[in-house]
Amino acid sequence: MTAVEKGRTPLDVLLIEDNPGDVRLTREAFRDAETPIHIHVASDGVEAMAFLGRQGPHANAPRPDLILLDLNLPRMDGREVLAHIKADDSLKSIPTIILTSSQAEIDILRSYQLQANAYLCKPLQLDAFETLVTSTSDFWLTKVKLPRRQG
Amino acid sequence: MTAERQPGVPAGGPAQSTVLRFRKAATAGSAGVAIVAVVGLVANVPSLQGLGAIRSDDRPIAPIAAVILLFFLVALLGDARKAWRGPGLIAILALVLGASVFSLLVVVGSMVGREVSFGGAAAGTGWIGQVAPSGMSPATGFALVLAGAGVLLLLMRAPDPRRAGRFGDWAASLGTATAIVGATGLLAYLYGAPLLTGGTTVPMPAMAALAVLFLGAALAAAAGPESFPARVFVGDSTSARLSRVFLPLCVGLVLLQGITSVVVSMTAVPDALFLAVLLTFVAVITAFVVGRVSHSIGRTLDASNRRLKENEERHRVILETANDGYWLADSGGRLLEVNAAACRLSGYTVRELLGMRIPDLEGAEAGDAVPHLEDEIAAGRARFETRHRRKDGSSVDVEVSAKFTPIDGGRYVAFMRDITERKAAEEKLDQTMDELRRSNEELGQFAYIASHDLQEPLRMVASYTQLLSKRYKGRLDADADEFIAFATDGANRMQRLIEDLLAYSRVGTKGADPEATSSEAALEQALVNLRGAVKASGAVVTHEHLPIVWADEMQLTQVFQNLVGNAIKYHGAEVPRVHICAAKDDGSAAEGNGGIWDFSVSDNGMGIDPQYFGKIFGVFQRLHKRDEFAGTGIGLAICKKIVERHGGTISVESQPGLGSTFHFSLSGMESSS
Repeated sequence: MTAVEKGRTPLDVLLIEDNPGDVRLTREAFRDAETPIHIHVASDGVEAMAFLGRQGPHANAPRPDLILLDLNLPRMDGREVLAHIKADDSLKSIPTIILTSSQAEIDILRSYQLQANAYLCKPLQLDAFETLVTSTSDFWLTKVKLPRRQG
Repeated sequence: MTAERQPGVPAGGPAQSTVLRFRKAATAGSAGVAIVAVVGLVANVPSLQGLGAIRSDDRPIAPIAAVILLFFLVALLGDARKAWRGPGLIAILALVLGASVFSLLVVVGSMVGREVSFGGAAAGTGWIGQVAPSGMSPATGFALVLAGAGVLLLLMRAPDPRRAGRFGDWAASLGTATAIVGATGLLAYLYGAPLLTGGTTVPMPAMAALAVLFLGAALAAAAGPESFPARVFVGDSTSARLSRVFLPLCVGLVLLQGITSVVVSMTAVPDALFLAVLLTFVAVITAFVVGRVSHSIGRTLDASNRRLKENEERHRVILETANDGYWLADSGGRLLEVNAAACRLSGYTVRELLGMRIPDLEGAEAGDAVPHLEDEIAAGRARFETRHRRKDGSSVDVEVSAKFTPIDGGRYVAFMRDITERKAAEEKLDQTMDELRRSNEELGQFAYIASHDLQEPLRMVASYTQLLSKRYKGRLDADADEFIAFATDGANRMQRLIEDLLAYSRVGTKGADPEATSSEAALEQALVNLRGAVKASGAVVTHEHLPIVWADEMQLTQVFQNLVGNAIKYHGAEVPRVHICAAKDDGSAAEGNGGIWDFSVSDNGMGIDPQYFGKIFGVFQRLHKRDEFAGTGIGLAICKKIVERHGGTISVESQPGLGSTFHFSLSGMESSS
């Protein structure tokens, strides 16, 4: 559908989400997209940081092109993960999108203060959810101009 | 003579009839002066010298004295008609002053002899005791000085109302003194001893004495009944009544004695017999008058004593019957009187209490920071709550009503009501209210959290049934398709219910504080939100000018949106017409803050059967089948919750087929009108 079709390498998306139902829904949403996207899943904050830091079993993890981050996670929650990402010079340029079911004003405010690139609420309807995920990914993966990969 | 009040007569002063009587007396006195003065002038014609003389050797009144009397008379008459103003007043003041000074010089001249000369009357030697052709008696002169001063004060009281009372008192006093001088002169003739004859001084002619008496009386009367000394005799007070009886009696008896002794001296009646008859007569008259007065005054006194006793008894019974404690304390706070309830309240006996001071009974212990009676009264509070200490050391909550009265050197009067039970009830009520508030808050919070947390699993159910339907519709059998459809529909409806429940609970938990809000702007915003529905239905929405009200703008918008949305949704056969207006509730003007506004949203829709009026504002209450109209039935419940949160009410008027009108009320702002 875009530049990806012109033979670029598959794009990597890191989905940090503890609910398997949402993980599957997100995968289903990307399934219909024609872009070759590789989805990596971290089910909590600690695992996400290990993935991003290429520690342990994630030694060969790619640097993701986009991070989809849920706020409410076990062990280390999404706010801490976001704070770590945006405090790390090598990670802060990765577009990080909050995808959560929280509509609380304080969460929205806090996320933007921590420099989240966007804050999205999970829509209740399947169609809306799929449209949101695909259009957002399309925008951040193909439309926006980002700095060259550093790693 | 006019009936209007004189200046200086305070409202509630002497009765109008008394004022009129004094004016008549002043007129009569003036008439007397006029007659005597004119006759006196005529009598100065040598051939008519017998005129107005009591005895053949009496001289007539000196012409200059008669003229001065007439000046004073003119001044008095003019004053009674309020004729003296501006230059006229100054002229008459000057005239009266001149006449008074002239009279004063006559008096002074007579005292220092020839050292003083005036008016060309000092030509001869030894004129003291002689009569200059135009000269007047020093006694007359003295009376005229008094009268002149009185007239001056009377004239001066008109331009200076602030001093009218004091000037009036002095004028009347001087008038009375003048009259006494005149009366003394007359009495002297009566007793056969012309005043100040002494062989060296010119006596006061009888005519002059009479004229001076009239003038003094006229002057005292002109000053009115509210002036001293007249006011001593006026009114219903016991002293005035006694004075009215005894003063004339004393004067009358003295006059009687004088007259009779003159008459008797011309006859051959022996002095001893005369004296005996006179004394007997005086004794009888005095006994009669004193008896009458004692009877009448005594009866009055007895009656008022009886009333006093009855009053005291009544007050005693009231105080002893009262369930509230009662104290009477002196200005130092020492108790002088207490009732039985005060003893019950404090646990002390009457004897013990009477030795105590108010602070001894206040506060659970010495120095306890409770309101103290003397401080509260000093701060202007007549009723306050405090705590008193009983004899046994326990404390009692009391409500005190107290007053300081200046009588008898200052007294505190206080009533104490035991409010221990009320205090306890209030505390219990406060506690219950707190608990209720907390439980209400918890309930609201619970509804919010429950519906919020329910959303997550429901989103899974809804999403996956939708996914199932999307992927497998037509690929399984017809039953499977139907089951999936029901599951999807149920999940969707449950989502809407939870969303609406959340919206409903947010009214209480997420509402902003009310502020001055344009209800017109809120309506406009609601219509923007509804523009899809308005366009689709072709509805015509009109409104009148809407006021500024005290509201949360988002919630007010929500109310308009729900009501107008309903009006469009439940339309009749015709094109929907919706009209919004607001009217000020007349009865609310006194409530301040701009009163209460009654909003109404009227439509020409299908209407509502009155039997459902109570039901439609309930949560999830619907009047139609799901396939007729979509929606969960939360809209009006939200409206009701919002309006009630703002302190207003919401109601509906409707007939099936005739449209509906929804009313709701909100507090207005002063600037709105």
